[in-house]
Amino acid sequence: MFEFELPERFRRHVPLAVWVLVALVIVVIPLKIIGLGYLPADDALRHAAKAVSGKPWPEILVVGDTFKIDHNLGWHEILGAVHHATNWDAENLVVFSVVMLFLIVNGAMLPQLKRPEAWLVALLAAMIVSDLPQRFLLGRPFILTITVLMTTLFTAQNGKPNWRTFLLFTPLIAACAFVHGVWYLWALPVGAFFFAGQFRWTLLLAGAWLAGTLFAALLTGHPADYLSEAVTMAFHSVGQHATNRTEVTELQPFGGDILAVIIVGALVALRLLVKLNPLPLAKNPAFWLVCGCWILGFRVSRFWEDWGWPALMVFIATEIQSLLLAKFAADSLRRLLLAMILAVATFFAVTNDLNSRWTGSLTWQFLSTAEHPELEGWMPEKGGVLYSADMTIFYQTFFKNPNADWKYILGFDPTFMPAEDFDVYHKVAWNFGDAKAYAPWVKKMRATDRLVIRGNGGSPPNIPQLEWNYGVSGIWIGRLPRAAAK
Amino acid sequence: MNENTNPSAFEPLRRFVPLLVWLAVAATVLAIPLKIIGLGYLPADDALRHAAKAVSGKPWSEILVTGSSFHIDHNFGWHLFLRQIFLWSHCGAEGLVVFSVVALFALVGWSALPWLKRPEAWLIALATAAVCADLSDRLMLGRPFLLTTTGLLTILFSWQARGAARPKWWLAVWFTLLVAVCSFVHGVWYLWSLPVAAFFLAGEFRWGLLLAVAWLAGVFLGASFTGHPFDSLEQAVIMAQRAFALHATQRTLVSEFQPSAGDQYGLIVLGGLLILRQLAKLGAAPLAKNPAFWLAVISWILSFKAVRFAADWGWPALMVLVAGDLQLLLQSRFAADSFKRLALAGGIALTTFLIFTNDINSRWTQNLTWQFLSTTEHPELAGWMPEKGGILYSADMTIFYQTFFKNPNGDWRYILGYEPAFMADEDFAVYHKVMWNFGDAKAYAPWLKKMRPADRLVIRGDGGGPPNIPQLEWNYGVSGIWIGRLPRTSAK
Repeated sequence: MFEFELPERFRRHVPLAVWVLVALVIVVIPLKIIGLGYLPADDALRHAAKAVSGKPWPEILVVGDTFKIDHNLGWHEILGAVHHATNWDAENLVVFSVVMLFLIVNGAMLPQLKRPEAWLVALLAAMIVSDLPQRFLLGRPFILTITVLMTTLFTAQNGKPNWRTFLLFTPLIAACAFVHGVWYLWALPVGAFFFAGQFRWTLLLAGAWLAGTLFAALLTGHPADYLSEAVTMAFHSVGQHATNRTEVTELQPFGGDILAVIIVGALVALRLLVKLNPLPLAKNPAFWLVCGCWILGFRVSRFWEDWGWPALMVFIATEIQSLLLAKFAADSLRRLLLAMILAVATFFAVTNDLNSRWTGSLTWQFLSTAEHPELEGWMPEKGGVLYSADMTIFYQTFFKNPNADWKYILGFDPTFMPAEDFDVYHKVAWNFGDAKAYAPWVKKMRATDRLVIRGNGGSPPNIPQLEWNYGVSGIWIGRLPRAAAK
Repeated sequence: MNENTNPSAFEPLRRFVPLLVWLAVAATVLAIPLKIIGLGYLPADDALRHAAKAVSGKPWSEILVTGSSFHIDHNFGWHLFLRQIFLWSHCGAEGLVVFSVVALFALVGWSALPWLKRPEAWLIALATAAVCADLSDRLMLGRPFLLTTTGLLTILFSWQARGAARPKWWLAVWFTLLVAVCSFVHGVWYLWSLPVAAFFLAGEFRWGLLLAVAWLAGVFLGASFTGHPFDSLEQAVIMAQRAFALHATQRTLVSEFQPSAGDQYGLIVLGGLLILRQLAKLGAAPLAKNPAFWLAVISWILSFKAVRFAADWGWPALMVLVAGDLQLLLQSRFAADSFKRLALAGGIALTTFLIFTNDINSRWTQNLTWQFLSTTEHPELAGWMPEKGGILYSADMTIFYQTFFKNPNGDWRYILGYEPAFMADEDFAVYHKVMWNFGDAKAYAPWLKKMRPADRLVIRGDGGGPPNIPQLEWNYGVSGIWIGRLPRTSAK
């Protein structure tokens, strides 16, 4: 089959056809997934709601004294501008975030590759082994950081360091630090370049990192607060917890991702067997970043997910590109057929709804009187506080009620809670949700406040001081008994 | 291994080695299902209803409440075959299940042997599939798709055995009969387009053409045996289309039709073969020229739509690749009549036997704790089973499988059988709503409204409290199962 060849006049169109095919798959994937009704489960919801609300976090959350400044200031500015320009509601902003960020993170890689189909192999491998493309569809600003990281690694592979690359990297890192906040983590790729012995690149990247971070901090208007806030938040997020179990899922350790290790092994075997002779592993910063983040993943899995895997994808794409360059002529029918097979496989692999990953949100029920008028009187009242030890309650309720006039005790990071409230939250998590752990919150609840706990409809939470309503499927809302409250 | 100690003493025995290896492999293939059946194993799904159908002798329309999409039994041949065995042996539904499990496993297991010079390579392929893909469980399901697997293995191995030679005309006859039998008993005639495509992709155009002709002729022949050739062909397609299209999300599809996560171990096995080919210089035909490789690739991609593509077509194809490459390795390293080969085959046979027969996660014995709705086994259920002409409402297919299995002659019908796509549209809507809402009691409301005194609603749940459907009176019939009926006073 693959011994046939296209007539000469068609062959010259093959590279363009492959490029269009790959680009098309990357465009169609998020559209298809959004078409299934997908909503991401976490931060994208609160980013969109924050942009719609236009309020600062202290008017949305009950924050402690560790909170100084919004560490995603830039992202909220962008979404706010989109909201003002389009009048989109929170849901449309989430759709925008999901689609745009997926397109950016994948689309930005294509110009870096002579064989863009190699990127589909990397995407496919990541999907099968790690669900990383699922993270690409979370609609969160860390995806911009991943984009810039991968762009940096590709650029360093394809060229030499010079002042132009410095001028490219500085604003890119500035943009990342402005929208995502975690400026200090750029030490990881700087370290990777250093270990790879790419000292000129190390210096250039370190300079771009420092300049970009400073520029981003200045943009916020509170440079010192912005920089110190990010570090404080990182220390608190991990340091406040007695065990890994009570940390937010992303900050818990990983299990070693053995399949990723096998992929690295397979790529090494490929080098040896096919004699591709590309850049030696020890001189490849992507390889060092993979190794470093794999080790750090045993402390916090996000090192691996947000820095290690993207570096591994660059590594995979580069190695596969070398193989394709060696084995497939750029304008051959074989190349076109392979690209078509990869396109179909990638599309099916990413868009299939395994374990309801894209449609799980269709059965969510939100606490919103607009959707459930019967909740009248059961939502927090003006100036009230919504107590909950479940972050999904915050994400979903804030998403549906961005302009509500209550505050949430727990938002997107327990670190920001006042110390005494963090203790309650920690005790609830420590005791696997035991009702007794809520006692301090129950004691300070006012008539305007509500306590919200997930549970099945069989019986209300064992907190008799409150009256309970099985508000929507799977959620109990408690308030002070009306007589006692009066 | 001891060839150097006293070569002359054992030399005359060397000529028996190939036969002994062959016998060891064949015996292992037979011993596996016998051992598993000996543990008390019963498969969980279709094998039960096939056997019960054969015992009942009734058409599906007298067993299930079917919608207008149902025309004809798509496993007509298999039920006819089992019915004849039942009439001849009077072995009961359980005996028929045991027969199905053992016979079909042995058939699949033995189908590769005539084509291999080193049958022990096939045992390695079986063991690999069992370890990497839980194929052991599927090969023990006692369902007619295993005949299709046998047909597929036969075709792929016959190509592999003939190498680059042109296909002979008699192969067309042989393949036609094979496809005819497969589509007569299994029904899914259209899926044979996959191996046809694989042969073309491998550049084996003559074989592809031959298989395409055999496919068309075989399918028509198989369909003709049913007496309703066009209806049976159309039914298979309608069933496939409805089985997917009626569902809003993949979550509510039957588990076999849900997507795969990408079968990483299958990819690792394929990668391992590539490395082996390079390192051992096996001299095998390039993968791109092997239809089994292309079938594995196509099925892997399609498995992102439905996992059955990989399980029923991809893995058998991969097993052919594994067996073919390992045979080359064994041929290059072991003389056919060496005692080393015999020892190795013995070790492989033992390992394969242990891999298949161990009862990890109670896979072979969990049915021992099943409790069936049957007044023969539970006389206290008298009055709680559906009455004559009644309907057993349930949104759980295992209720149908197990209850029909124990009551093949029950004079009631089931609202949900082996495929929701056959339900009447309004009943499917209820079933789908129950699935969508994770079994929420409210979703059963339309069924409650049309229930008559002869009908029963059956829901799985623990003994803590009955389902939250106060319109019915409930009995915790057997462990884990609640039976609801209209209250006797209001029913009167």
